[in-house]
Amino acid sequence: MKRTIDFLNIASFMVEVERVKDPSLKTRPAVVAPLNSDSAKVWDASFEAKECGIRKGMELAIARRLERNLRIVEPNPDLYNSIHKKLLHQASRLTPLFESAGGGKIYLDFTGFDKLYGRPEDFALKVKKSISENFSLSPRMGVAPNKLVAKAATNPYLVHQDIFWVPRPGNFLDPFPNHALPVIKELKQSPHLADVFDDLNLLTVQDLKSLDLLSLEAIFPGKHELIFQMARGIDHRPVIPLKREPSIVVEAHLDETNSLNKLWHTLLGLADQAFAQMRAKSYLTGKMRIALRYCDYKYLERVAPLRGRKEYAHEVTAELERSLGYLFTRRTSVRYLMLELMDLRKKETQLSLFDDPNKPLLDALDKINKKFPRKLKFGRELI
Amino acid sequence: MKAYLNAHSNFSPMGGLDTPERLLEKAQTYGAKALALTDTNGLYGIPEFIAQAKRFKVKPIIGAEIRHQHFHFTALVKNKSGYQSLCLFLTQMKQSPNFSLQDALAILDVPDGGLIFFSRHKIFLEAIKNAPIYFEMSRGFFSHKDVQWARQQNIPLLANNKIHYIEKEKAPYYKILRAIDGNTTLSQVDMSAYHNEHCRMFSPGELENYFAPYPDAIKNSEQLAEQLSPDWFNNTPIMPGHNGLPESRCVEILREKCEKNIPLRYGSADKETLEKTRERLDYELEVIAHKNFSSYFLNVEEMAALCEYTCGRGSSAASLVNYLLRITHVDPIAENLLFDRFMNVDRSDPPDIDVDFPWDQRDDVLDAIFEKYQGRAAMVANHNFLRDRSALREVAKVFGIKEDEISHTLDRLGRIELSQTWLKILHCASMVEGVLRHLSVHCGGVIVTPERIDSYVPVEISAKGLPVIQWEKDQTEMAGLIKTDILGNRGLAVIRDVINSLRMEGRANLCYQNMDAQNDQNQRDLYKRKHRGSYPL
Repeated sequence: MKRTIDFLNIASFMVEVERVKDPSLKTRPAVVAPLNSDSAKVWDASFEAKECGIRKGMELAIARRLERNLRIVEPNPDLYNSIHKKLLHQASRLTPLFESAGGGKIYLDFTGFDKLYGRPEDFALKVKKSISENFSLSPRMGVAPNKLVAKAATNPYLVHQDIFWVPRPGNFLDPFPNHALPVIKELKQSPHLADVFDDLNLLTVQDLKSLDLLSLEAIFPGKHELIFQMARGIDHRPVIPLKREPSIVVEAHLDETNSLNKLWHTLLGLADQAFAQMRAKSYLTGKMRIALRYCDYKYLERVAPLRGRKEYAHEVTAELERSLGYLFTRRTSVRYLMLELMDLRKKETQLSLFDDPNKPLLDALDKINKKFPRKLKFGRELI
Repeated sequence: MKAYLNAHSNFSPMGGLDTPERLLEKAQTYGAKALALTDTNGLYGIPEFIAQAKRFKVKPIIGAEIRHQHFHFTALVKNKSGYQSLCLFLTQMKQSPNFSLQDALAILDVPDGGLIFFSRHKIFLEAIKNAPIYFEMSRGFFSHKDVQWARQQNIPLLANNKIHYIEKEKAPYYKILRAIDGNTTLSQVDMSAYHNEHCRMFSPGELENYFAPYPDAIKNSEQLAEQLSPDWFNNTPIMPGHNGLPESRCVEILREKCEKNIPLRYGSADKETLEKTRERLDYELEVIAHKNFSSYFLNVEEMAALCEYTCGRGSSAASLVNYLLRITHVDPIAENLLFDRFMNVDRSDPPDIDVDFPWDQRDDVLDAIFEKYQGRAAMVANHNFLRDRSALREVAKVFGIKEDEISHTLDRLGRIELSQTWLKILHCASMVEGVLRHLSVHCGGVIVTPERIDSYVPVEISAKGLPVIQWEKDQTEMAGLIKTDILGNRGLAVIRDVINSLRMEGRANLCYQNMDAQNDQNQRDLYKRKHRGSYPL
């Protein structure tokens, strides 16, 4: 069966998200980079900034020199993550077969959906519309029989349409630079092959295509068949759906703080919230993941296996304290705290012979928590 | 209560907010008769403290609070031998990584050792058998049960309050200081062990009210303050001595050496110049003998003789004695330099001879000096205090500001608008400024003493392995120790290499020490030859 792969590409994803927040950034050269730092690097640059020669990873000081009117926005990685997660959720409503390819980039497999959605351009338009309506973001859509061509079809420099359908790859990839092929990107990483492309004048996909299999084998032994196929637009890589086990994630965005007490209060609050959500779904947890991000964007996380399955937050207090002590070892302020309950198993339906004497109290606390979220305070929270 | 027996100044490394001057001023305002400076694990500010105490007419008491993983106590100095024991103890504690309570007792627990101890550390109090001890009652650090224990053990009580800052309002800034020292955040500072919210200077009335249930403790405190006095600590110059010879013999040796070198230095001089030289030499030797500095000159001559290429710099070049001893190489008579600028009868501070050595030979010279004066020599320290930028940087870290932002803001201070957090940081930094952060080594100051140096001042070991005294150059002078600067000079190293190179090529046979730069022949030799690197000459 002929495959139909859509590639959803929000170019300069971070800048685009910031533009939704602050429309004054639109149509202006803008970058996302840490402020108040002389050695900061550019995280992401808008199309307009890229036209001025600004690239990702460039030093901010150089970027400033290239464009005097450059708008700089402080990064908000948690916001970008959450928007990307929401995009994935949106994609899951359209097709069960989708794969994340980084911030604002998703492969969607619509093979066999023709009768449901109509022509490939039509369902690409449908996806674009749904993203625009829900997130005010404007993605580029590439539709093709495989991932390689679908991705190439969203290149803003060579393809000038927001939705582009390539029914047959044919010569479509010919004008693209050689690194459009993922295998070439990989080969360029190795130091002894980095200059081969310039030396042999293999700059575009067409140049690679002009070589026969034997020549390719002489230059790139082991990878020649893959290059031969990809240069002709043949890509057998499947869209690999996310394998997600059920988990409960709660997170807190903090005003910058390095107070251990404040962090501990927040973590306890998160634990209460997460365990209440878990109990509402009749699950027990066997593992926790605690993560924090410092204000200098250093991200640390710890996965803590629990002894036996736990139902209430107070059963894991010691582990939470240990994990916070393990993660919070610097003096720098913390901006983000996250708790994920993993390894969830359904609670056994077998009734116990004896009622838990604490259960009525804990149920009552759950009710209060539900009615007045995050108002209850325990232990150190009262300090 | 008319005495404060446990005060920490800004000379306690990250342990006190106020200068000795401010502590004394406040003590005078409160009508206190005595104040003991007990900086943590050192005598870093003692000369300064004693000098200031004279101004405020408050009796200074020398002491130190010892904090070690195995024991904790405060020692007050009763007499000179006590001071020497304390210096020796501090030196050994600083230099031995495995210093134990037994080691401490071996030095301190001697009858009439001249030291008086007070502590609340029961193990230490029980271990001390011979030296006078008191049970320390510092506000917030003892319970009635502890007092009962001390009474059962027949240990007298001592009413006293630990002082780390003067005013109550400074408590938050002291907490910041502890956070900087502990490399932690404000919420994680452990104040319990040695610090609490009462570590300030209470008025005598407040202390008397607080200690009213223990009248014997108040009485002991006042009696102890009366007993102690550092009258023996003065700034009389401590001459290093020369090979164990008496000063009178050193005067003779110095004269002999100078006269022996006159033909070498003034061999071609006319009669009038020679007369002038002898007249000047007599005058200089008279002043030197009057001030008992003969041994010092002989020692510096020995140090300078360790290397062929030396150069005395600064005011010492005005001395004919230095010129004759080959410490300097500028003829003070020909150049008409005034000896009185270097040294005269009325000048109170000791002269300071700076000698330059080739930079790559300086460490060898220092090693030779330390080997020659084993246990009697050490380098002078530099006191590194928290100052403008370092204070701001450290406080900002405590407030959780990221490194990049700290550098960025500090570079643009005064040109950018500051957030509320940064304004708070600025304020806090101004309050913790001036606190001793750590010691470093002075660029060249070397001290030589007549007896082992750790009986004059505690000695620490620098990161480079050199012995370093706990005082910086001003306090060293205040304490009467004589400093010689052994400095590194790149120019001298180049001159040495050029001369060696000329010798090897057989182009010129120059002798650095007898070289006359004004001599036309020498100038021709040096400047006209197309030799690489001869330009420094």
